[in-house]
Amino acid sequence: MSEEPIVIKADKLGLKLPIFGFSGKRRKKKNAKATVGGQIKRGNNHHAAVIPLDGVSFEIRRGERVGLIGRNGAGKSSLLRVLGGIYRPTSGSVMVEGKVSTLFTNQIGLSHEATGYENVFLYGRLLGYSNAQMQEIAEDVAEFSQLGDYLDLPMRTYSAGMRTRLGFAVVTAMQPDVLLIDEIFGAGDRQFQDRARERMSNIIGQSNTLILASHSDDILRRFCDRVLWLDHGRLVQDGPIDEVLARYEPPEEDEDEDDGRKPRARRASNKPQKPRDPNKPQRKSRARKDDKAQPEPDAG
Amino acid sequence: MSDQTSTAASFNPGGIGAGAADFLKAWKRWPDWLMLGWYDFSIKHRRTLIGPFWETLQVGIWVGALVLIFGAMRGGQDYYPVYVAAGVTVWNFISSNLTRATAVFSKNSNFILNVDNPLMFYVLRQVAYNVFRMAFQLPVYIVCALWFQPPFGLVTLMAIPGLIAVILTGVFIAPLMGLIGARYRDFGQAMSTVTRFLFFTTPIFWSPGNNAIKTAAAAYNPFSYFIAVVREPLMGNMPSLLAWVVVLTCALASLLVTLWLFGRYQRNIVFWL
Repeated sequence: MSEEPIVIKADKLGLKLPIFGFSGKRRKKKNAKATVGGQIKRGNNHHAAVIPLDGVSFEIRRGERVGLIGRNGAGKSSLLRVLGGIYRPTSGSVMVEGKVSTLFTNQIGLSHEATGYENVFLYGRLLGYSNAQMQEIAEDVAEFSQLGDYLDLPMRTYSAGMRTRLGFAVVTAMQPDVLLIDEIFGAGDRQFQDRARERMSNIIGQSNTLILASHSDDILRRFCDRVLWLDHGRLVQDGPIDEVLARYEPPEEDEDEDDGRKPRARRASNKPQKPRDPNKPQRKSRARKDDKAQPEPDAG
Repeated sequence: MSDQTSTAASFNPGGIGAGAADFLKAWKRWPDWLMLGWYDFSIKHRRTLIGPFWETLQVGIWVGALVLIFGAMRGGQDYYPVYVAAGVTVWNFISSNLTRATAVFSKNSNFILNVDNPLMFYVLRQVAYNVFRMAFQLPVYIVCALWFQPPFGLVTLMAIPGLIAVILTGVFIAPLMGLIGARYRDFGQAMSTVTRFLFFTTPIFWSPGNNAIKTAAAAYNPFSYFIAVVREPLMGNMPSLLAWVVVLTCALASLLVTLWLFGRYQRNIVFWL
């Protein structure tokens, strides 16, 4: 692996987004400290700003399959958008080599009135595929997505999972060098995930690079072998998936158990513990100190 | 899909050159934005019985009403229905480049945030939509022209460069509207108010005649000339040199301002969505 060339390199990558139409004044009553989101900078030139990424550095070699984890708003999607060329970094630099394909949403439908098949063509146009390429991928998409007759129905009849199938089929059809995927696999069923994994490993076999953001360690384990852990826009840990997930989400404990064996979990959240959603595993044992600026461990 | 190696250092605002580069990159993909503009137009009318001919019908009724009310006052002179039909069709195109374009980036935010395309691409798609819309409004003029038969001649062909100039100015001004509209959300509302006002202060359904106020209102309004370079040939008259000078000056000025502001701020637009 280490002989492969570096295709992505981020150097002290920072991103600051202005928020207009919001003065940034604090409410009288101080809010509880946010455990989600990037840092919020207030009262700068009448405008608040969020800092989704703050000095993130890493290198990714060709063919690596990298997962991104972190709480809601930790900077995962922002990082993907910077890598996808959508956001320009406001400090530092980023280098991405090769063709990049992005799959950040399953709302790819240009129109809910257009059929699935038409949407494949419309989306292809948007991505700049040629006519010849489009003919080629249309069959491939139909084959992979297994949507059958649904391809002739308007997109509004599609479920979220069906849209995910279609979107994934389109963006992977042209075999990009770098594939960036945000949390969208959750909508797909098990069969789709198996097929996606198979298709991806075919692509990876052709030395392609994958970066995938997800909250599901199940999905991460299926697709990735390295994980970047982001928190408040900073890189907390970068390393092999088992190492990072072990620290990020220690082995499952019984939810009802309340014997003080996991005091860190209590302190980690200001909010009352909510019942667990089986589809979205919560990280419950996050050490409080991780919230503070931690010296960037460079496991890379 | 972005094609090649991309390296992004931290943001540096560019100038006219950066704006022009983005513009050319988008322009080269003309089959894509033309097709998307057409799809936008046809999908909008999907599941309706008469489809895009609603555009024709709406303009037809609008022109009919104007002719009915104001034509009587004029005593049926000068091929008035032809005059109104041509004026309204060109004006609708101009006004949609001023109003619809203000929302072009927020409307496409789903794509802008997900696909790395030149932003001008979405503007061209919107202008293409506006052109298709105009094409479906044109039959009203054609019917009026066949019916009332204004004096056609070789001069009528001058309407073609006129139309091209109007469309190109639309291409140049729409990105500017989109840029300002993305940053200042009041701008969209302001522009629809302004265009409604301009509909009455521009000689679209009235002509200056001998009225001093009307003559001044027409003379100091650049939109009069944009309508004139298309409509005068369609009425069988040669547009004045002044009209062409004003149109070309406005086109060039809007191109330069747009490229400069776009080069400077295009990378910020995504943060304003």
